[in-house]
Amino acid sequence: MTNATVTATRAALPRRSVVVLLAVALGAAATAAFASPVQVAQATLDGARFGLVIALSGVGLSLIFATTGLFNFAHGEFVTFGAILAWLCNVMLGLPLTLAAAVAVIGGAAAGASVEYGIWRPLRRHGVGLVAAIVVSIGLAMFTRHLFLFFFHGQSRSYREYTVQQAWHLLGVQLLPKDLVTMLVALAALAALGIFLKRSRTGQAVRATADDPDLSQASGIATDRVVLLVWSLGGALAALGGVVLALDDQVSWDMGFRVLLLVIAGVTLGGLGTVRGAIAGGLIIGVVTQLSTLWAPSELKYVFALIALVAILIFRPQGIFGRAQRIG
Amino acid sequence: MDLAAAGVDALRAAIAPATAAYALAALGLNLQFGYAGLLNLGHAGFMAVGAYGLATTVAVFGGGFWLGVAVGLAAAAAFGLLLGMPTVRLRADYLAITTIAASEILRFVLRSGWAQPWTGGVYGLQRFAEEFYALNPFATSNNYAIGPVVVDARTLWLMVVGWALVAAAAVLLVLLLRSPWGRVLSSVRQDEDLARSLGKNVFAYKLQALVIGGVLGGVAGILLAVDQQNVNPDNYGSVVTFFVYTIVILGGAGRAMAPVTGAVVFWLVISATDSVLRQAVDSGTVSWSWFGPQQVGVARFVLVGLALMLIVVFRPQGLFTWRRRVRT
Repeated sequence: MTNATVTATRAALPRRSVVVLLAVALGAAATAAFASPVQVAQATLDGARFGLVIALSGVGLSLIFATTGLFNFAHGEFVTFGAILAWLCNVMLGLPLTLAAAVAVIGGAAAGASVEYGIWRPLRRHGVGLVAAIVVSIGLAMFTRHLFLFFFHGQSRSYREYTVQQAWHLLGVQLLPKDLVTMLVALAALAALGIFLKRSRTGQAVRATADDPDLSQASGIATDRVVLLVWSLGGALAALGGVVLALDDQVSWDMGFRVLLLVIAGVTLGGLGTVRGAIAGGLIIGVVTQLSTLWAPSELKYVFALIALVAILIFRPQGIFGRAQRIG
Repeated sequence: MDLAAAGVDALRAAIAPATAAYALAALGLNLQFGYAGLLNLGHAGFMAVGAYGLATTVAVFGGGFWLGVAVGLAAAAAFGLLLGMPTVRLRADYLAITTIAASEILRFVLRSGWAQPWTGGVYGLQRFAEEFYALNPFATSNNYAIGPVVVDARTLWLMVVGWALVAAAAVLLVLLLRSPWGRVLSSVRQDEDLARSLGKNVFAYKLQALVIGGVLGGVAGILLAVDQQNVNPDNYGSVVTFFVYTIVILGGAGRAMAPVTGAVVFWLVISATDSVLRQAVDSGTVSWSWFGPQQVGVARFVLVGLALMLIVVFRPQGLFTWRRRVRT
C-alpha cells in the first residue's frame, strides 16, 4: 500500500469507531424510549457479556478465513468441545474449574491443529475447491456434533462450581460475579491475541499470510506452519469461549451449533480477519440482541442479529473494520 | 437378527412419499447448486414456505386445498425472489451464510408466539389435507402390497402422486437443461466472466435458477406436509438442508436425474442401518453400555456427516476446481 493509502486508512479508523459508538449510543437511546434507563443499562451489560463470548468464540473463525479462505462451518464444534472437555475434567475428574478450563484450552488447540493437519492440509494439497471445502466442513460439523450427542447425551448439564451466585447490585443494574469474570477473561484473551498479532514476529507472519499467501511464502514465511498456528489458536480460543458460554448457558451437545450463526454474524459484521473487528462485531450483535428484548418478544431476539448479518452482507460485506474487497 | 425384515424396512423407506419429497427437493437444489453453482444453504426455508403456505391457507383461513397449494408455490417463488435479488451476486461463502441466515430467520419467526395465530407457533398446524385424501381412488379399507412392502390406501395414493410429481419434475428439468436456457446456465457456472462478456445477463439466469429450484423445494415441502398431516417449524431446520445436500452430492451434483437415485439410495441406506442397529441393540447382539436405544437414532446423523465428507473428497465428479481467492 502506498503511504497515502496507509494514512487514509489510519484516519478512517477513528472515524469508523466513532460512527460505531454513535450508532450503538443512538440505539440505546432509542430503546430507552421504550424502557427505563436501568433496563437499557442492564440489557447493554448482558449484551456486552454475550457479545464478548461471541467475539472470543469467533475470532478464530475470522483468522482462519483470512489466512486460508475457508469458511469453517464446523467452528461451533470447537466451542462445544471446549465446554464438554472442561465439564469432563470438572465433574468426572474433580478438577477445579479454572484448571479444567486450562485443559479445555489446550484440548481446543490440539483439536484445531489435528483438524488442520489431518483434514484441511491434505485437501488443500489435493486442490479441493472452496465450495467443496465448505461442504466438507458442514459434514464434519454434523459428524462431530452428533458424536457429542452420542456420548454426552441430550440433556444439558452444568459445572460443579459457580452455578448459583449472589448478584452484585450497582445503581440498579445486576451483575453476577461469574459474568464479570467472563468479560474480563474474554477481553484479556482477545487483547493478548491482538498484541500478539501486532507486535510479535510470528503475529506479523500471520498477518502477512492473511494478506497475501503467495507473496508471504515467496518472502520465506512458512505458511503451512502459520496456518497450523492459526488453527490451533482458533481452536483454543473457541474452546475457552465454550467454557465461559457454558458458565451461563450450561453444557449441551449442540451449544456451539446454536450460537454458530450469531458468531458468524459477529465476526462478519465487524470485519473478517481482524481482532478489532471480531470484538466490535461481537459486541454489536450481543447488545442489539439484548436491547431488542426490551421492545420485541424475547424469542425473536436472535432474529434481529441475523437480520443485521444479512443487511451487512448485502450493503457492506467487508464489515466495519474489514478492507473493501470484491466479494462477488 | 432378521435381515429380511431390515431389507423390507429399507425398501419401504426407498419408495415412501417422504423419499419422493426429498427427491423433489434434491432436484431443485441440484438446479441451484449443481447447475448454477449457487451454494444455497437455506433450502429448508423453501420447503417450510411451501408447507406453511398450504397449511396456513387451509387450517387458519379455511381455504381449499388447491388454493393452499397455489399459495404455497407462489410463496416459495416469492421467497426465492426476495432472497435472491440482493444475494445471488455474492461469492459462494457469503451466499451460503446469507441463505442459512434467511432460513433460520424464517424458522424463528414461524415458531414464535407472535406468529402463532397464523402458524401455530411451536405446536405447528395439523389437519389440512383431508380434501386431498378424499380424492383417493384406492379403496381405503384395503392394504396393498408392492413386492414385500405392504402399505395402506392413503399412503399408496400419496406415493403415486408423489412419484408422478418426481417424474414430471425430472422430465421438465431435463428438457429445460437441454434447452438454450440450460446451456447458458451451464456456461455461467463454468466461467461467469466469459458468459457475461458474451452478453448474457448472468444475474437473471442465476436468479431464475434459484427461484425454479426454490419452487421445487416448495413442492417437496407440500408433499412432506401432506404425508405427515403436520407442519412444525423445527422440521425445517438446517439439518434438512444438509440431508438434501448429501442426496445431491451422492447422486452426483450437476446431472439431471441423479438426485432421484440419490434420494432413493440415501433413504435405503439410512433405513437399513437404523433397522440393523435397532435389532442389534434389541436382541442383545450389541450390548455395549455406551450404545443403547437412544444412540441408534443418532447414528444416522453421524453416518450422514461422515458420508458427506467422504463423498465430496473422494468422488468430487470433477466439478470443483481450485480457484485462488480473487483479490483486487
